[in-house]
Amino acid sequence: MNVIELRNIGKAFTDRAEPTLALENINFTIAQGEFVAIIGPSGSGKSTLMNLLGLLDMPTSGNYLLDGQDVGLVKDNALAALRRDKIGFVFQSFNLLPRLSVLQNVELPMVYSSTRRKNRRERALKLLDLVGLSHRSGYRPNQISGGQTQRVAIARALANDPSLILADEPTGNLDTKSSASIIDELRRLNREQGTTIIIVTHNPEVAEQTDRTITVRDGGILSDTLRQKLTEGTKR
Amino acid sequence: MIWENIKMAFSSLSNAKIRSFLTMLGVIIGVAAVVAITAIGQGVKDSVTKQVSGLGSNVLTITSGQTQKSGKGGGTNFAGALGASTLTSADVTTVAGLKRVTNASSMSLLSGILAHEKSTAADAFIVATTPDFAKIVEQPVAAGRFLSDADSNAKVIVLGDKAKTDLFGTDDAMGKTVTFRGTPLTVIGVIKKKDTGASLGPSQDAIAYLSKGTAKQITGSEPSIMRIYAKVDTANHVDTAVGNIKGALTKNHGGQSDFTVQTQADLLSTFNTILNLLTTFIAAIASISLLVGGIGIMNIMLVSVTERTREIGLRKALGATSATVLSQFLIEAVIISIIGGALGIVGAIGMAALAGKLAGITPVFTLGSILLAVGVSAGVGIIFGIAPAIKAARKRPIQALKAE
Repeated sequence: MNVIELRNIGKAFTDRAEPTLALENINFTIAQGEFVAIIGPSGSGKSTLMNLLGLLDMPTSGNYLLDGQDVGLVKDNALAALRRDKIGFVFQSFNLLPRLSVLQNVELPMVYSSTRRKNRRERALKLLDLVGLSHRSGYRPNQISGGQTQRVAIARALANDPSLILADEPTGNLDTKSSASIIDELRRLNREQGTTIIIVTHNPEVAEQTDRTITVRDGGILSDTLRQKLTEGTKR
Repeated sequence: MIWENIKMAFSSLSNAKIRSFLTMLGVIIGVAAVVAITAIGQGVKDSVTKQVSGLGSNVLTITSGQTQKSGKGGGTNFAGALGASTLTSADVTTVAGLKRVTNASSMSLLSGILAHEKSTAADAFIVATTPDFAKIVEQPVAAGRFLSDADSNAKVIVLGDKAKTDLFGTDDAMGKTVTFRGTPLTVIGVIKKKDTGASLGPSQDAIAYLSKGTAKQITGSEPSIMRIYAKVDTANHVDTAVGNIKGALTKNHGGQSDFTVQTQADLLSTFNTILNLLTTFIAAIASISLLVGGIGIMNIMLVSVTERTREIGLRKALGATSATVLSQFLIEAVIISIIGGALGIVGAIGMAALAGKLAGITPVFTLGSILLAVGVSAGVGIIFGIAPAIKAARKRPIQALKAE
């Protein structure tokens, strides 16, 4: 089962001073349980691609099938519901709402899916436990480290049991050690929970730790490489 | 979801306490002013109603001139109201003799100042009347007695509480002499303090009474009658009595009804009309502050929407719909204005109590005016919160996340 299927996707920005074709003719599929890196230098179109994949923006041509559903036909409110139920986001910065506690941040997607308060709380605690942060549930985001913030974001991304986790430069603001632990965390989720994970990054070292690397350049796909799956023993 | 939004709104307001308070200030002032003014207005109305109905619902007043339109080309005869009275002593006698009327008395205003040694009672109203006046409008005395038939030409005077205090302070006034237009008058009675407060006409405590005959001797002419008071036997016969009086006086005045007979209900309704108009007018001016307050809310909310662009983007990425974001910001605006309204009501209670103390009025808060204030402030929140909320809801998640 393909979680993502892109057919001839193109994205043009016509509202700019100079109309730009940011993406052209993008075709690929990502299957359930894959651990993929989308890599490319800035200006390559990878951020645009990530926005399309995350349903934060719509393509100007082609079809995007998410879990077999053509999202081009979906209305605004239903798009919000798809983002809520199918996609878990981990952003580079401003991931958590500063006024809410860590626990409340993890609960937020479940607030939007109208999950009952009690179930919401239970699940949020379970997810925090999963990323090893249940002891920080009452803290405010500014009271925890950057690495912990990203882990909370991962827990939140899992809240509504999505089809995929979309991580946009999740280690962009972190030191090497924290970066490694975040990638490990994602890797572990992928292996243990079978979660489909896409990391968008410009960092080749991050990409090396995934199973597959899609390289974007000048609005097109330069390469799509499968790596031999890392085994437990060879993992750093 | 709504409950979550309410909680969120409270936390975001409490994170910027000073700003939230300043935002509320316009609403606080507006609501406080409107509620306080209506409470004071209601207080005045109640006090006047009490005072007028204290006269008794079976007391009629007859004034010179027509203050109410009747027939073609009617109008107000100001001369009648201001001095050139057409009412005569004969009219008083006629009214007193009518069926259903138990007593009648007249009231004339005299100009001049009361003095005792070096003290004067500058604001005292000197009224010439007949002993029957006390039978129509009760005049309980603190000392001595009211005018009697034996006093009709005697050089005596009865003082209201304030007039007495102005002239004698705390000393006993009984038997002492006050001078009025060069004539010494002996004080034979002091009327109990009535404490009617600021209200219809001069305070009754400032009045001093002397007999009509005495007044004629002092001024050299029959005093012009400002008003005739008549008491009807029972309240049920008021209408009959009014008819009788009109008929008899019209005959006395050669077929012209150049006078007005008013019941207490008439007086009250005239007064209430004026007071309601005034209260509404002042409240309308005060409510401009509510409008300004609303604009303040809109302004701050617009700033807040811009400031929180990334929050909105994140929320939308996590599955918030436009409607969810709209309601979040709308609820915030409504909560600001409702809290403002509540604080305004508290302020109003303080303001009204203070104003009441200064003016001697007991403000009366009605549930209606408070509910209205809360409703209006919630309305202000909705009306002025809607534009910022729509702005927030329209933000696309991608734009929002890109904002720095």
